[in-house]
Amino acid sequence: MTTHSSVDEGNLAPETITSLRGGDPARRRPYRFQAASWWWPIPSLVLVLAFVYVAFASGAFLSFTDWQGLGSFNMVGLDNFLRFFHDPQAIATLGRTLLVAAEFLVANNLLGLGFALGLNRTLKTRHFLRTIVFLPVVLSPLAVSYVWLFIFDQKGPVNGLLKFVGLGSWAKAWLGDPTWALWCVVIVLVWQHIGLTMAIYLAGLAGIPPEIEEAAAIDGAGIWNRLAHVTLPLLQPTIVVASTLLLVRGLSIFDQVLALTGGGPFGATETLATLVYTTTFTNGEFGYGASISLLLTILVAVFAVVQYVLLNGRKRQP
Amino acid sequence: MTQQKTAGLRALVAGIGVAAAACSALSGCSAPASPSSSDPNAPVTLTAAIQSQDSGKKYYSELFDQIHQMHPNITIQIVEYPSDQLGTVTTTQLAAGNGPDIIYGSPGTGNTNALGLYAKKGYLLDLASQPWATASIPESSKPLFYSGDALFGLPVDTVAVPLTVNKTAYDKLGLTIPKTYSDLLANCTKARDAGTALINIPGAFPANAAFSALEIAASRVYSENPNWDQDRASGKTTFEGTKGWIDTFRVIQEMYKKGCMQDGAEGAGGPQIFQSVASGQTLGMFGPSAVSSGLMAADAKNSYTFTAFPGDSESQTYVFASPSDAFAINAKTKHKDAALQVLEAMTTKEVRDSFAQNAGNVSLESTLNGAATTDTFKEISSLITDPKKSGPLPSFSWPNGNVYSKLGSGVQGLLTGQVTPEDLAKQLDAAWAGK
Amino acid sequence: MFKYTGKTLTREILIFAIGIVLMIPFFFLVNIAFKSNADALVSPAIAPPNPITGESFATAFAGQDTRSIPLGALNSAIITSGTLLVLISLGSITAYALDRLTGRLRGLMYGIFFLAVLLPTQLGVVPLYVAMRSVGLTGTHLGMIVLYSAQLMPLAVFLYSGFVRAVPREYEQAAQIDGAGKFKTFSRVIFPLLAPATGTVAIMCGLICWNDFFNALIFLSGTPTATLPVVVYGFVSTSLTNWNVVFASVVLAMAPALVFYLLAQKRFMQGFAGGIKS
Repeated sequence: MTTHSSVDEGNLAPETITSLRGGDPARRRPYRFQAASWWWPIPSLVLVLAFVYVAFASGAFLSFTDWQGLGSFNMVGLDNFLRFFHDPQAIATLGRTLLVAAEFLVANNLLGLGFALGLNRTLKTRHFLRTIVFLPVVLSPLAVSYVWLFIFDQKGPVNGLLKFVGLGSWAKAWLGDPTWALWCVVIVLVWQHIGLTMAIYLAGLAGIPPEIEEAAAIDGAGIWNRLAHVTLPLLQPTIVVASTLLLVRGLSIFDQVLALTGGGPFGATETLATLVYTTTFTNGEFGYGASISLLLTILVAVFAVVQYVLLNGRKRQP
Repeated sequence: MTQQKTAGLRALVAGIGVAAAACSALSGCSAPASPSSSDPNAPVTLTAAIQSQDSGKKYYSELFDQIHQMHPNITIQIVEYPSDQLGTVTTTQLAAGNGPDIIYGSPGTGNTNALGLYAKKGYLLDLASQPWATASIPESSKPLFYSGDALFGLPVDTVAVPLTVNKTAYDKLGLTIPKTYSDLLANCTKARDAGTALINIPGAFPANAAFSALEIAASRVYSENPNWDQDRASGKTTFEGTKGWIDTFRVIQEMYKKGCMQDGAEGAGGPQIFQSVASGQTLGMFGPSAVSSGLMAADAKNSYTFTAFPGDSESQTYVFASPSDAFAINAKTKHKDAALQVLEAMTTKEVRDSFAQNAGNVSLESTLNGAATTDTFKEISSLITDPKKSGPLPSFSWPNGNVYSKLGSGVQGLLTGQVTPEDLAKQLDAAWAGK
Repeated sequence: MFKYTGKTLTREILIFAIGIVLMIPFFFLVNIAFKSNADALVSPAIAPPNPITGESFATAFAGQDTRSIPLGALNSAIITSGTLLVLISLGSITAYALDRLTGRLRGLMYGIFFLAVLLPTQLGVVPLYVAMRSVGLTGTHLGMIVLYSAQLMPLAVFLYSGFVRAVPREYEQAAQIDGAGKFKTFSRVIFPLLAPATGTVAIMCGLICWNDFFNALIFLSGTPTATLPVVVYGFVSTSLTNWNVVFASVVLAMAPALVFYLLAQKRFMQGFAGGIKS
């Protein structure tokens, strides 16, 4: 944060500057008065405990059973988990899930932040363009996947375009290609989430007073300099929020994948989340499905916490 | 923060508040009243869960309308679920101790919406003591409707799973219905020369891709051993150890290489099947007769006919035709007598005939009592009325839904070269064992 | 400052071009929605409708039996707005309290909410259905509002937290010096300052709620309370699906959500940026 000295902070109270940078005076200086009552979080806490934790706990319990969705069940200990780790296809699915989530996270952050920065101000048509970028988010995720079936079809527009520009030999059945199908799925998922990522970053950018950037610009900092040393550091909390949400989403999306490829060709686009769905609801193996779901949850939790600590940690050492 | 903004915010919150108040008022009065009475003619409303109907062909609605006319005091309220979700919702509701009075599903245990899965756990009413019910199950299909000694459901029609061909396009190209597999391969070449393909295979739509594998297996596995499924269940045979299955998978690969399927069959999706066949890009498709009937109704410009997928020799040719649109009664129904009356009405000749007609399937009257089939079934009627040349769809009696899904995705894997016939057979055996 | 220059024009044109690419799927959606049944059956997806007809919209709007788009839209609107009311009122105050409170319990409660963001809701759906059924909450608006509020509360608290942290404490100190109580300070001073967060919560959670298919299917389908996604998916039939009708219903279902987004964007997205001269 070497450019800090170049920012004209003269007009702003020092406290404001510190908090705008994401710093937190309260952590350093104890408060003399209470801002909130201790019981304010209780109603929502009760709601979350009752509907999220109790439901999760009963689901997690099922992962140690052979329940089939109806009637009684037997306790089977760790059998379900052993079965998962002894299945080479399941292990491959685990790796694929991480790959999809990583691609999803990186592509969305780059594109979403790019659109947010590009559309934050100045452009005459920015409100219109924001709406355009956001539009895919508004669509029902399941229904929109069907539109993509028409686009990736052998006789569809993607191949039509390739033939038109003389690349007819590249034409293929995209969703049936073991290499390309996964990329097609990622493209659709990213397409559906750019708008959301952009919205989160726009809200974050809205919280940055333009004076700070203006001051940096007056001092001669170029666009990239301003981005790297002023905007991005100030966006730190937003980056944490966006990345955490995208990671959780990326690891657990399943309905679009099911509608697009059904996990095919021959399992090439199967992820843990689709595996949970098909195991539980198509094959009726609720016990085994619950155990895969529990593994997925542990995966999500570990990655989210690690990412959170990494992203937040950087902030603490300016 | 300006005054204006705060005002806007408050207006929004207030608006949401009004909507929420309206909500609690609405949910308060949406609780239905359920009258209970011992009078057999007292009006009663039953609920029936079915899979989503076409907007054009609402044969389930017509079925229940017809029954309502026979029993004016019984009103049946239909609840439609997307076909791939029917099993999920029904399972959840049954587990919670509610669910509809009358439940639609597949016979046996091999589908996600299979009634046998619910019956195994005691969630369906036993119909074994009702003579009209026991008499409505064809002998060859009995195992599909019994769980132990309990009869858990009954069929309303017979569904054939033929190869539907666009007869208009066949005639135009001078193609004839093939009698043997080598005739079919010759047709493939002719169709290719004319810039089209003989069969549409939706590789990316496992539920339908599996039908093609089953149809090809009919003449290669089941004409030789109609009891293959029982033998597999008792461990006498396996997919891997059955030459007919390996041959079936090789035929799929051969047909792909020889251009019998449309370009990009491995990635073709479900929605495009009908478009492809109706527009003449492909000349035929596999699928249950009711589905093909939908195509016939929607595309009046072409005439279609049902055919069997030929075996290596004509004598091997075998088709699947099974009593498969089935209904059962929730064991916890509060209106047991009325529900029984509804099911009994389904076993009358008029109801069977009109349901099969509306759905585009074969009437149970043909299967049980040898009545003539309708014109669409002309090409295969000698097969479906001959117990040696036809049998129920094998997947119904498979132990779980996983084997069938694996077969469907396996077809796609064969087309892309991700799996060999031998490996696929091994994986099907594993799925059978529940691994 | 930040004047419109030649570079800005290039940027505008570039983003416009990308925007058009992003819109391609909508072209197919709308293109197919305006075809007649017979046309949609045989013509390729890219071919223009011949003739252009609104009949699929009429079919979709008229619905059939238990599938009604207007009723589905009403149900979705009631459930979504009820959920948002709970999320915004409870979520904002919870996030605020979690940030400003001190002591050991604060960390514990924060952990509980943060961890819940990561927990899948599908895992416990059957036990939850059984439990909600026993207290008569299935198939009702109230039940869905309670369910969605609980499932989305961690997300709402999480989104608010990031913004609460950035609100300078001078504001609340000033308000309290002026004699305002804790709650009044929150509702009159802090809550309006959280407007961008409220906008984000309303948009994100609102859309999840509006488009949710899985929970709505399990908890509502077959009742008169069924929401739009359940109604729309109902048009995907078992055998021959009229995709023109499905897509027409998708367009119809999208319209209210789009209007909501436009309103929420205008009200909230600018948030702090209200004073910016662009």
